[in-house]
Amino acid sequence: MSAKYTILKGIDIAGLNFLSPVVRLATGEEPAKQMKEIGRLIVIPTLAFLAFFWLWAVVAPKHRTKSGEVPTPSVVWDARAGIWRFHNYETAKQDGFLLQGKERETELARATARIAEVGMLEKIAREQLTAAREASTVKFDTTVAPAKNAYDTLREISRESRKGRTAALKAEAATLNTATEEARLAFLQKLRDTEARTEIDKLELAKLKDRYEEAQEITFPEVKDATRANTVLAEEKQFLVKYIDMLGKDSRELKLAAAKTKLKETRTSFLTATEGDLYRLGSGIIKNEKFIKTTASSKYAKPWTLPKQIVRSLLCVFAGFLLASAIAIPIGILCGLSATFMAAMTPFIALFKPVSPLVWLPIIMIIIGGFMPDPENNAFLMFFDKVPFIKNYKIDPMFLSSAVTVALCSLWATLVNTALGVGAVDKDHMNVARVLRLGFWSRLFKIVIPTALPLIFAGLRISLGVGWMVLVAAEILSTSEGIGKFVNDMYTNGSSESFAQMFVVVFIVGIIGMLLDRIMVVFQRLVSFDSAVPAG
Amino acid sequence: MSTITPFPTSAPFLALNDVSVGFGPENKRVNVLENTNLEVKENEFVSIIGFSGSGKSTLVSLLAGLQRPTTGTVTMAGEIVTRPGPRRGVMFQSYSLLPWLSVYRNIELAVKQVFPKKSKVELREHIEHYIEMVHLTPARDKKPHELSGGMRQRVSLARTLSMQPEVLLLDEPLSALDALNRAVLQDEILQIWEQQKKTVVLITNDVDEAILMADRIIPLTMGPRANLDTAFPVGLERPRDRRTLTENPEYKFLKTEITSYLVGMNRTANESRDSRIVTMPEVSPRDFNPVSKNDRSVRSR
Repeated sequence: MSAKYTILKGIDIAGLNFLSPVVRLATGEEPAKQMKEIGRLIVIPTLAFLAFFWLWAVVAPKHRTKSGEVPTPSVVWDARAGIWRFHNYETAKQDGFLLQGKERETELARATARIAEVGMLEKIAREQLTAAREASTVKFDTTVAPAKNAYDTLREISRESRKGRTAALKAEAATLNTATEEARLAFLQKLRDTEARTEIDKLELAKLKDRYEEAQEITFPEVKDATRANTVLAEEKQFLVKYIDMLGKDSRELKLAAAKTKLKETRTSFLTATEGDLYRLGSGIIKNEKFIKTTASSKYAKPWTLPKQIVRSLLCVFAGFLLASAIAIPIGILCGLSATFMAAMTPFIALFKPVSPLVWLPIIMIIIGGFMPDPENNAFLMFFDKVPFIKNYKIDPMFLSSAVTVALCSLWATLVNTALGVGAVDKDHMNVARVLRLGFWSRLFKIVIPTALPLIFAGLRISLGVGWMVLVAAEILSTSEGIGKFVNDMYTNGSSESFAQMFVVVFIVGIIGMLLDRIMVVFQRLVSFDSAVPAG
Repeated sequence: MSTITPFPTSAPFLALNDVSVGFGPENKRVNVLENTNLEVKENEFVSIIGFSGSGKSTLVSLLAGLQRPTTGTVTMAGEIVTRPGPRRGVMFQSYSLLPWLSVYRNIELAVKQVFPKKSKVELREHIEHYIEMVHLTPARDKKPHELSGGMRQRVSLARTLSMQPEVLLLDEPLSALDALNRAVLQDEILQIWEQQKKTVVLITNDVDEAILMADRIIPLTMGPRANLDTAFPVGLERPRDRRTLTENPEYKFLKTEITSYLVGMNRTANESRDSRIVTMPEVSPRDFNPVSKNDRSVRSR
């Protein structure tokens, strides 16, 4: 029984209220009521999501862009798989380059076997694609040809009839030179009627043309699927070719071995040669030695993949968030404690709070660039190259600029909330402090900050949310590696696949933002002493 | 604090000397309290009774040193009170416990500050002694929001007593409690006072409470320009028992006396006020069908 309440309390603190009727139902507590709650908290949101996906799948293909159709949910799902495949291939190459001895050989054998397999699969897939294309050509002809025929026929007919009408009118006009005014007016009317007929014909033609074009644009799912299967296999083959090189002739081990053999040869000939250019042989040895040294520590230059970019974005947002908190909380406390300080700060808060990250970023990039004219040899940046984990994410001036921009845009919520929380200290608590003669620091840490903590955390929660939104924009503008850079690359790329990958990013950014918010809610609840915090 | 010179018991231990408290600019100052005098002897239990809004809380703030008088002085043991301190423990109406600290920690905050030289063991014994005194040992590690109003006020009492103040200032400590809890706490406070004999100033608006607890009852006249009037001495023997007290003729006499004094004061205050009588619109209830006494919906309430 107590375990149940511990779970329910945990659910409540985590703000996952939709789970609590499930737990209650599992323990048999008021089943009817719990079913109703499950309906409201789980079934309805799920239905809403399904409705959204359905609407999306229906509406998206109707709009054509220069990057192809707007992707449907299933295309986006495939794009997600594509992103993941790319990441896995690149990671495999990176690891493969460093493999040695037996391990390398078994891996090489495996890759070689796989490439043969892929070759077979590709052949089958190509046949399937051809078959699908042929089938679709037949289908295409059966739907398109009648439409085209109807259009062509009507066009021919209307052209002929117009010619005939024009000729008749011209002939009549020739006889009108002697006719009365009435007859001339009647002719004019005839001209008008003919014009109207032509217009009607044109409209009908346009209708037929639309139908024809529509038929032409029908894409056949079988062809699409077959093409996609082919692309996936081609990608894998391309990877395997590279991978086999990495494991084989381009592997670090073989390169080193070759260099060492060569060094030995050169050495022997340098020591034993009785004639020839000893200077050339000697410098050859030194060159070889150098080459061996660099090769021994070389790595595969892995391109940035989305998972790694996401981690870097998270690092960047936390760096900015920490900076914002370090600035906003002390200043907020000072604002709350001193009305004078608050009065001094108010204009700054009012002035700088609405400034967009897109304005801050270039300014900060220039300022940071001023501090680090030579980023390659900057002591501060080189420090991060030694920190485990972080060293893999290349802390550069662009990263710092993005983090500072995040900080500048997100610190306001924390600052204002901290000031509010500190200002809201209970007068009676302050009286207790005065009776006890608590000193300034005791008052601050034992009374003021604990009182303000729930509001400070409410501010931090807003700050982190704002920071996450600002970050993606900052990365797009600064081309600092991260989610924003990925979006920018996909936008520049402009293919229909990269278009779909941008949709994947929407969901990734959304889910991460949601998780960050949840984490902050948990913190907020843990520091609140009585009243509940709204989860929304 | 330990070097208090022995104080002549006949002289006032705690005193207000011609104290006025006002606010507003000097030429248009409104006095909440005016030329107020009070003398409390050592170990005396004095109760100050008055209507709400008559400046009772201002009086406590003055005695505690939380507020300085505009004119006049507040003295304790002959010294002028200039700032609050643990020699005068205050128990606030609103408990004023720190909601993020447990019962133990709330008291610890006070004890650590007042007795910084105590060792860890002494500290714990001291705190637990006072928790025991107010019968809260089972709730030692509870947070204030997990306690009832009466228990919270007990914690507040324990915290105030744990500072071992020479004077206890009780600012309507029981007025937020229900009648039962109030009676229990009154008895507890009386019991503790009889054991420890401290100088106590109890602010209240409850005549029964004042008579039960105090040696002297001093009425506070209606504010603004409130003032302390002549005291009613309470000669009832101690320990007083609330069960037999109501039968006591002196108790009955005092109660009638003080109540009629307060009622009379209220009347004069109302008369002296600007008589702005606003005629209210006639609001008679609409003629609803009378609800039958056997009606289920009524019964179920």
